[in-house]
Amino acid sequence: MAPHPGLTADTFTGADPVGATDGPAVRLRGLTRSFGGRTVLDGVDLDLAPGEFTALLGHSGSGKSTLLRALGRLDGYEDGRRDGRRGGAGRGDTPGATGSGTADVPERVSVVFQDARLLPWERVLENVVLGLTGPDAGETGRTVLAEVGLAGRERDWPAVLSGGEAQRAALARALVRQPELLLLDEPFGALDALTRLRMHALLRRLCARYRPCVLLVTHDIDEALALADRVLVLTDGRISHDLRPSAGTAGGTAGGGHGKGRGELRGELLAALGVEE
Amino acid sequence: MTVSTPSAPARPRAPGRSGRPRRTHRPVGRPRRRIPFARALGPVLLLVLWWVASATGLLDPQTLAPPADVAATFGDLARSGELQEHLLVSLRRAALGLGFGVAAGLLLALAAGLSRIGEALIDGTVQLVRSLPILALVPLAIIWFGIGEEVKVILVALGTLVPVYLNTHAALTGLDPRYAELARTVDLTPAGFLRRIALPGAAPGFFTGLRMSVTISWLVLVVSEQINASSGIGYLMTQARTFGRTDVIVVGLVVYGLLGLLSDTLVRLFERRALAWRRTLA
Repeated sequence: MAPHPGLTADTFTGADPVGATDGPAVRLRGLTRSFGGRTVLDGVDLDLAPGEFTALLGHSGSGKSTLLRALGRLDGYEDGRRDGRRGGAGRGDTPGATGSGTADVPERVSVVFQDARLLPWERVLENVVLGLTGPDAGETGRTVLAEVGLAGRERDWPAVLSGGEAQRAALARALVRQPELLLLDEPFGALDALTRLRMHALLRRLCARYRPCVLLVTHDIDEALALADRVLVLTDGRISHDLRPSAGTAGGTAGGGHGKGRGELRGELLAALGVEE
Repeated sequence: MTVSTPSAPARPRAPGRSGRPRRTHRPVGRPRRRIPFARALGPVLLLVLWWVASATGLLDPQTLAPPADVAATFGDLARSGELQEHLLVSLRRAALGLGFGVAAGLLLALAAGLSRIGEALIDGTVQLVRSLPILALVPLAIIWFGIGEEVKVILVALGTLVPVYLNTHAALTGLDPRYAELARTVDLTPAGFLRRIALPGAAPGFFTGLRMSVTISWLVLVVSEQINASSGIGYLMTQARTFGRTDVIVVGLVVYGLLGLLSDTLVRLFERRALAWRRTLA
């Protein structure tokens, strides 16, 4: 996919390219979250490097989504403090929730949810540039829509999009704000297998181009191995496994050198998730 | 189908050439064959019945004037300008009352739907007002505001505020909280949240309320104009009652009916434009 002439790498990453900073893009220290006395995250320490694609695996209820919400500043905590004022209605905050620890995240964070979450009363382009200001927002939106394969669909209502198309639009909405951290919350969970594979290829292309730090929450081991440089397993609110599939494994062949083979990794991850093969 | 002969109304059967066997059970979902002017059929039938009953002397003109007399009176009143004068007065009252009522209902619903303090302060109060039949306030309103224009506008405003508030508020509180979450992820400002998410999300409820309010505005106006007024369609009808002029009363009824129909059509057109995105959902 040829980059749009008007959008060089500079316009997307800004004056301070993400890759140029030495420190981690994300830095969690002792991140703890409990809901009504139940500890969901139990002192998570985690560094994510800029441009790194990390997959986070775990059972449902293991705290994956809580971790992602904390990274996306969606849980009402700002610097460990509760702040109920953000976000208009502010009803997302759970009563009885407590939290501690620090989460240093970049300024520009985008989230793609499992549901595309497009506003049904705004056309596709307006959905993509939602919250963006500036005279060239529309043009940027068009460019990113073309990149996700939705050129010509700018004036459509979201209701006429298929599930895969809606998720592409959601991806465009996330990328259009040039995120330093891209959070993906089981974004392909509701798609059929073929659409999911096409979305994997698209996501790989887009990540190679935009180079955000990515955290993909998923329960699909194969998806994690196919996409990620690094795979984490969350068990009982702690990171129990931190694996790095070597470069060759994404292609399906056994990796040489210091990396483990894909089959071996898969077995290890299945065991970590408590599934007997 | 044309219904012009007196014998026709005695046969309320559906039109259609005889000989065709009529299917009694139509598969659900199969498109029905449309009868032209189907919705006008009932009212036309009623009109014919009225005409026949008047012509045969079955209906005493003291009880209800014949259609021809009503039409003539309508013409007279329109020619003299009397009808337009009263019509304008009524329209102005309804429009003012509706405008204030709808604006207040919308603002209160937004305040109650988007802030917890607003909800605590407003919702209980409006629910209390709602439980009162609005027309029961007429005696008190007359004592407070006299018999001028204000009292009519205020009564219409109070009556129309309630459905707009209730429906808009219900739509707002029923708005998917995931949209609020989305607003955070794209760093929408509070004003942006209001404009891009809260208002469009509440629009379907608002329009439901608006349509109810338009109906109510005429209802409240009729009553308040008949109780204490010196102008307006309601006044015209009250005067006619004093002189036993059923033709004038029917003219007033027709005007109210047309006004109601017209205003509802306008709101529906407006609604269709504003909620264009919903048409794609079907």
